[in-house]
Amino acid sequence: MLLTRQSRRSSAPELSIAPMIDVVFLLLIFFMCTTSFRKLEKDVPAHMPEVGRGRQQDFDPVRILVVARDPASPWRCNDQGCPTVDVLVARLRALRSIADVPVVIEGRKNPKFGDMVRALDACYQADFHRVAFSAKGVEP
Amino acid sequence: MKLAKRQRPFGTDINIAPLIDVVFLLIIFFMTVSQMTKLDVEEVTLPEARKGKQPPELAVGRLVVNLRTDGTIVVGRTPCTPERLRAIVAREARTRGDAELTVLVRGDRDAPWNPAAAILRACAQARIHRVRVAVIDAPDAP
Repeated sequence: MLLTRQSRRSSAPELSIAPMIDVVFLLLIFFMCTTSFRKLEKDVPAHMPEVGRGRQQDFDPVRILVVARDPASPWRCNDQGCPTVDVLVARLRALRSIADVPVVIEGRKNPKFGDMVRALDACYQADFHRVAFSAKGVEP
Repeated sequence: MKLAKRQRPFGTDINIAPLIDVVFLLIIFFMTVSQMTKLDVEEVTLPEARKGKQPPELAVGRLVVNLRTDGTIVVGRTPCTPERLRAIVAREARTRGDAELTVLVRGDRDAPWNPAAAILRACAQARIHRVRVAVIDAPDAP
């Protein structure tokens, strides 16, 4: 049986671009979504004076100790244990109501970096302005 | 001279070539930007804070120092020792000027404190006073 060929193709081959546009738009939307969903990073100032270069203070600074592996009171503010950051902030606010003295944050037994930063943030929450990390107790 | 008008076919043709151009351009832009932003940024879980401030959009004169969970210091995707970091910070302070240089410490919240203190100490030795710690907003931040 002889089948007659269907009408000949037109001279230029036609390219279907509809699926390509679909894919391209999908990619575009994907990139737009992933870039906007990243959590925004912020920052806080951190200061650690060089050993021996710290200024001589006229009055005693507030001393915060961050003790590693002490779940009962990871933070100690002027030797008073603080089980949570909120307790630490409350203590610092009470001290801030007296004066804006310098605050020194010291790490004991190599604590977590996050706990040190939370102590720093607690100082800023209590509206202290002169906050510094202490190099004391840090292994060189 | 009379020119014969070409008859348009039925219906209007929309030229989608420029649209595809623009869309591809946008895709390439997003891909490049997402790659560029990852150049000096490590995947770390930043500590949470309530008093974090938005950094300036322009990151000129900023040195990013990353601190991984295991305490490794990473600058520009290269792990380095505290001594090497000290040399990098001193060199950056010399070339950019210590008054203009800001050091951003991006530390993992579970990283040990000692290497973080080494970073801060290196900055203090290079007389860089603009040191900042990267944080993310705490869930209950104002």
